[in-house]
Amino acid sequence: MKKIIDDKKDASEKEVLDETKKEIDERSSSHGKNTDASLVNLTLLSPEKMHNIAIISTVVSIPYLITGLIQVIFYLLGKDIIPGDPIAGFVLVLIGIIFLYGAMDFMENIQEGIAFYYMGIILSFIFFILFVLILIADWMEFLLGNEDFSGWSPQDDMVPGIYLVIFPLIFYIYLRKSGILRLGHTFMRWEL
Amino acid sequence: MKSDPSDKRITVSLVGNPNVGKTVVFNRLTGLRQHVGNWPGVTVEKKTGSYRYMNYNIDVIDLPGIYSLSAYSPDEVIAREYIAVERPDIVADIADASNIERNLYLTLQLMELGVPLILVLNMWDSAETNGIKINVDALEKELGVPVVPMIATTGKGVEELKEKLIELYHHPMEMHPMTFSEPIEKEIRELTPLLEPHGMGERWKIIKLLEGDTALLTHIMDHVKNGEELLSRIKAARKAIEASCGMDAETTIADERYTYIEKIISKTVVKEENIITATDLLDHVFTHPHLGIPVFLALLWLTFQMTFTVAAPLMDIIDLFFGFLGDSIRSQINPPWLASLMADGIIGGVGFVIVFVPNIFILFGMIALLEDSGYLSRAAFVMDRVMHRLGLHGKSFIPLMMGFGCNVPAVMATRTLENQDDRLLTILISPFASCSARLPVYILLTGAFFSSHQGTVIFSLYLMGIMVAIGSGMLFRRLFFHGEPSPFVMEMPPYKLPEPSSVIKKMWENASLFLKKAGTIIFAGSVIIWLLASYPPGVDYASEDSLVGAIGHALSPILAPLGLGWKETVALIFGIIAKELVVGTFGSLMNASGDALTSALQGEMTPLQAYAFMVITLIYMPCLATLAAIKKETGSWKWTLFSLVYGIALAWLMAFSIITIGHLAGYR
Repeated sequence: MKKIIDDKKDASEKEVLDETKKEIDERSSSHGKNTDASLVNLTLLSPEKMHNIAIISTVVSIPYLITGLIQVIFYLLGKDIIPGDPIAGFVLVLIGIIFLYGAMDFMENIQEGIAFYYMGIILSFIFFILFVLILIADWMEFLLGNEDFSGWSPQDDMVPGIYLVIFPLIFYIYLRKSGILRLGHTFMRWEL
Repeated sequence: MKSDPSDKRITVSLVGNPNVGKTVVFNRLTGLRQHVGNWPGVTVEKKTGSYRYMNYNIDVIDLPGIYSLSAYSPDEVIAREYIAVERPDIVADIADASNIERNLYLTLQLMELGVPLILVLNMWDSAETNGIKINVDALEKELGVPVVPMIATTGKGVEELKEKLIELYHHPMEMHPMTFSEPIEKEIRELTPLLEPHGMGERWKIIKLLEGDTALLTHIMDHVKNGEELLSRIKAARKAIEASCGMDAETTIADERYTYIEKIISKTVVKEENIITATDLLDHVFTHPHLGIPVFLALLWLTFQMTFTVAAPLMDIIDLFFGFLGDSIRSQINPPWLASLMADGIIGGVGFVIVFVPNIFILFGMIALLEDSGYLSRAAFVMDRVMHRLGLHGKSFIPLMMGFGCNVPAVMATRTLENQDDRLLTILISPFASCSARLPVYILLTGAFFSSHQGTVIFSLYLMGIMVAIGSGMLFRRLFFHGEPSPFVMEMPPYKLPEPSSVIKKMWENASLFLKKAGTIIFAGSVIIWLLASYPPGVDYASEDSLVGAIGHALSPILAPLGLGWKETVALIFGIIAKELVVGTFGSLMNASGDALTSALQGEMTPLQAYAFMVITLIYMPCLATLAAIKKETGSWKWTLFSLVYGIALAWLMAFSIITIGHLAGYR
């Protein structure tokens, strides 16, 4: 950083400002207006493309909504059809709703809807990690010989949040390959 | 040139807006490890440290974050008093480079004050990410103040700051404080002679008086001879400014400052327009009017699942170790009373508490992640919608969230609330946030009675803590603190990927505190419980005939309507000292650990009673350290006693309601 400052010391105040403005203009023109190209690129979103994405995200949301609702309802009815508890069901419903919000915005050509996809994908990944950690923890309990886990099998912890992540994963790969959204810039230092 | 530098001390105070990284800079300079968080209000008291550089001893004072040199909240008073009265050798104004316009508002006021100033542009990397380019040389020339770009989290710019501090100390730069419009300048010129000169700051004092700063006016009135004349001249000057500028003096001065800042910015900063950042995207959902609260609850649930379920095997490993140790001691050590003291008293009490260290580690890790990422401010923001409607202040939610770690800093964090009523109310409700010391009690009892839904049951208790806090706040607002809460103004910091080292540090700090407590208070408590359970001589250990049995029986009528026995009564009594002792007491009194203790507890209580017992532990009273903090912060025995009595009464009523409703619903 000191070098940057030293380098600039030689140039006059105006020259440096002009140079900075030029640099920023160049960045903007090469990546398109209204964009931070590394994170989202909204210039690639034509109305047709947005409608297509809205349909895909609706498809992503449906399994989350249905499975989450089943989990909550059957728990309340006292039937243990899907592993997991009602709050885990609530989380799935929430992720489904977030994707649906994005779909609704994109159907109306509101570009800010990209934020719902960004968050929906992040949340589905975060909860996937949680459910996998729980599975590993329970497996360790089984290995340690904890009485509560004597009849444990991996299927007991194969909650929907684990296998449903395939939908947002495919959706993310699609958005990334289309150049529309990329996790990893500004907030995340690593990239997915 | 000043005298021999070998014995020279320089005092540098760090000031700046909240959440600009002052504490990170402080830690970088001094090598200390003060708590750092990505939300405003981490520093509520001034902190001091020092370092040595080029034969100079530099004392560094970290002050609470302030937006201006006005004094509205207690933390602002601390910062202003220090700068204006104590007069450090140099003031380092730490600014957020990505939000330079707002930060320069304080810079201008510091320049008016006339203190030797250096401007540190921290978060330089965030500014670059957000498309902001700052011409450092141009800014230096405009302000007449040295400017240092910095990325304090990585340490970049820290050496340069150290160098420039020494340089500034010996060669102060000529500052260019802003010139106001002629009507204001005229009043400043005419009023300044009325103040008795104290060397520096007369101009700043007059500007503050024109802004209507009542605290400063009162102070000056007490210290000048011509107080009445000054007061009448100030009033006349304010009217004159209003007449010529069309706005009241305070607004005019603020408006002119911002106009001047805009002028500086146009000459020194270039900003890429319409950039979309991750913060924009995340805030769209995190602060969404419908999704904000459900997302917050989901993240809270995730925190508790991580804390309880993921930590469970680690707990089992530690438990197995202590079980083995206890058995070995019983079989190897003579005389039997010593074996009993070590196995039943110390290992049963202290060892049983240490089992919960993995949970403490993970809980604090999760809180650190939420805090450092910047999410906590958003949680307060979304909760403000609900809380304001219920007559509470959104900022009250930050102490509640902090209370999940420990209630003592939560009570202290209420200093960020400007309004005294809001602050007192928040102090009274903060202990209902379920602190980490209650965690072992929940884990023990949910493990014994609700093993298949442990995380969810504990989540319900944390949620109940928040509900009780909000409900109590509503009640107190109606009974004691009439009127509306003050408006919620809080800065939303940019999201950051938490630094692993910072998260690990916080985990370790809190876990080590927990271990220290286990080695001192809980150790002593366990020995006392063992003594009370072993005497008078000849009685069976922890039997009804022992001293502890007598104490429990004497007080058990209080809990008898809830169906809880004397052992639970004793556990709650010891829990007053420290909540972890509730668990330690069970371990000692039941002379068991692991599965044996689970069976013993199942023989003592039903699931419904266990839940009621956990609710009592949550609510019944703060620990002694929290009570001391309440006394200190309220300055009142009346409110401290009220907090104590209210908690006990409410806990009993809540537990009784749970038992009664549970019985009616057919639960045991």
